[in-house]
Amino acid sequence: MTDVTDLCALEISEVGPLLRERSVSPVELTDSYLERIARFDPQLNSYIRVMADEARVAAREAETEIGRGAWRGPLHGIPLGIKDLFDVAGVPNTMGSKILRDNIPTRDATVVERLKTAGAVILGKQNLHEFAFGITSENPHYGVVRNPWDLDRVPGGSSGGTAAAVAAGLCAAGMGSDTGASVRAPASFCGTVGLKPTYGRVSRAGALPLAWSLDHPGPLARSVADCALMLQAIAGADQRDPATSLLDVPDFSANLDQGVRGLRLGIPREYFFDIVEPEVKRLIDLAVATLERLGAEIEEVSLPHVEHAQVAGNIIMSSEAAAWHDTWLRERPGDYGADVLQRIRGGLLVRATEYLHSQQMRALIQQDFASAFARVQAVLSPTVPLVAPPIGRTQEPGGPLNVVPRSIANRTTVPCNLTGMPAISVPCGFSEPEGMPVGLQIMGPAFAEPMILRVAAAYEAATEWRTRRPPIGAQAASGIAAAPGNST
Amino acid sequence: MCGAQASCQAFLAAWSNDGMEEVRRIVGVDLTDGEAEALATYYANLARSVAAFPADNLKRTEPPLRSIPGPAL
Repeated sequence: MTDVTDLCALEISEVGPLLRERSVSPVELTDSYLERIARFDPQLNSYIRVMADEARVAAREAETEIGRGAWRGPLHGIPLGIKDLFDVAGVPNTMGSKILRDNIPTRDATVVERLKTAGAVILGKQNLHEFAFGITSENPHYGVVRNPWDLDRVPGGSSGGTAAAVAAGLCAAGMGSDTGASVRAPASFCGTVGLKPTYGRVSRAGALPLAWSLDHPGPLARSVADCALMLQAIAGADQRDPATSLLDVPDFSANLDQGVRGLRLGIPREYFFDIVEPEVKRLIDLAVATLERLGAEIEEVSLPHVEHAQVAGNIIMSSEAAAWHDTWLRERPGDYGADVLQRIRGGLLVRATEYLHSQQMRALIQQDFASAFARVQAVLSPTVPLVAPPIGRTQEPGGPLNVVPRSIANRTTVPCNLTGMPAISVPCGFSEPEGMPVGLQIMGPAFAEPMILRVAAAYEAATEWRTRRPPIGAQAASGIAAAPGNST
Repeated sequence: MCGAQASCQAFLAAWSNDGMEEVRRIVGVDLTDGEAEALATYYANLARSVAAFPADNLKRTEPPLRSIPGPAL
């Protein structure tokens, strides 16, 4: 019998071959994750619903199939978590809300369907910021999600449960969604890799919307290679989502070992470094220096309209959200958490001309990036300007910059939701003295996921950040059970 | 000041006089004074930020709003 704690520490690209050659069983692997969830999730609160019975059934099916030589691919038998805004047939899809507590879909979201087709085992539905509209995952209905690196801090949001679970080894990888920051910010705060693909690369069908024109489903994982495997399974045209692209889906793992020698990487002259905590700036500077040492040429790029991205993004997001929530806002305002209600109501006040001016600004920012990408293959920035703030203190000024964390957390990520460009967050170190993870954001032109994955993989391979595990995970990896409330 | 900015300034002037009532009218539910004031402030800041968009550049830019034909599979 393989040591269960070691099994859960393995990345998909490591355990996948063991499953294929039958030295590890999908049932054994799934049971290991379920055991860890039972032991550690009471502290993290990363799952809204654990689907233990369904997971064991799927794991047994995977075991049978692999046993008879019908291996489906690198995700076959891999236990995954799903943000609780994607439909899983027969299982409540709450979107972290009281209003949708009893919403039971009859069909899987396209991404869930594709992950199941790839042979993945769904462990459960993961906690999030209510209605995916916020960056803290301090959920008033299903409880606060905690950051595995420091249980007194937020994990980021809105895919906070997914990021916390991936980081703590409570799933091998997970599906999140990103409307302004919601894959990348929690990835940065929790020290995981998070990928927002190009708009249209991955179907939104069966994902409850926050803002139709900004929503991007995307994976979170413990390595760049695992993100590539997840993207491979979910990417591609879908009749259920008219915005999906007909472009061929490339092999996202093909270029991961190509390095960055000779690539030109851009550093934005404006905006992205204007408001950044000193420790974040220090670690990003070191990451850029590492890429330069690996052979990349670094040059400044100009993005003159990007200073308006956060306003344009927030206007589009709140307007589209208000349209979707319209009847509930009037009939069930008492069923919302205060912060989300305020934000969505703000969308009711936006005038049509302001929405359209924001859309025009979106086009101008797209043009800025298009000009930059004529000179460089990718653009680098901090994923988030700050490290994970303390729970309960995200709406008041604090931290080294004395800013309201919620007001700046999507500042450096939302430009890519406006432009639809792909962006990935890869861990680039730990702040001192807190020891909190920081993410490097790598942005690329539309449908250039292979390029940003390549840059991220080169950086990841040159550093040791991916080998670090949060205290809650380290205790498990050494076989020591964490005492409740004593795992930081 | 361009037309869009002038229009916005006039709108904001009217809004600042009567913002909380306007918020109540649009939101359409009972709001406490605190809620209405917070929303009025939030919106006024947003509207000021939009007014700061470079109007000349907007004038020459079409918003990316088009029908999407969808995947023909």
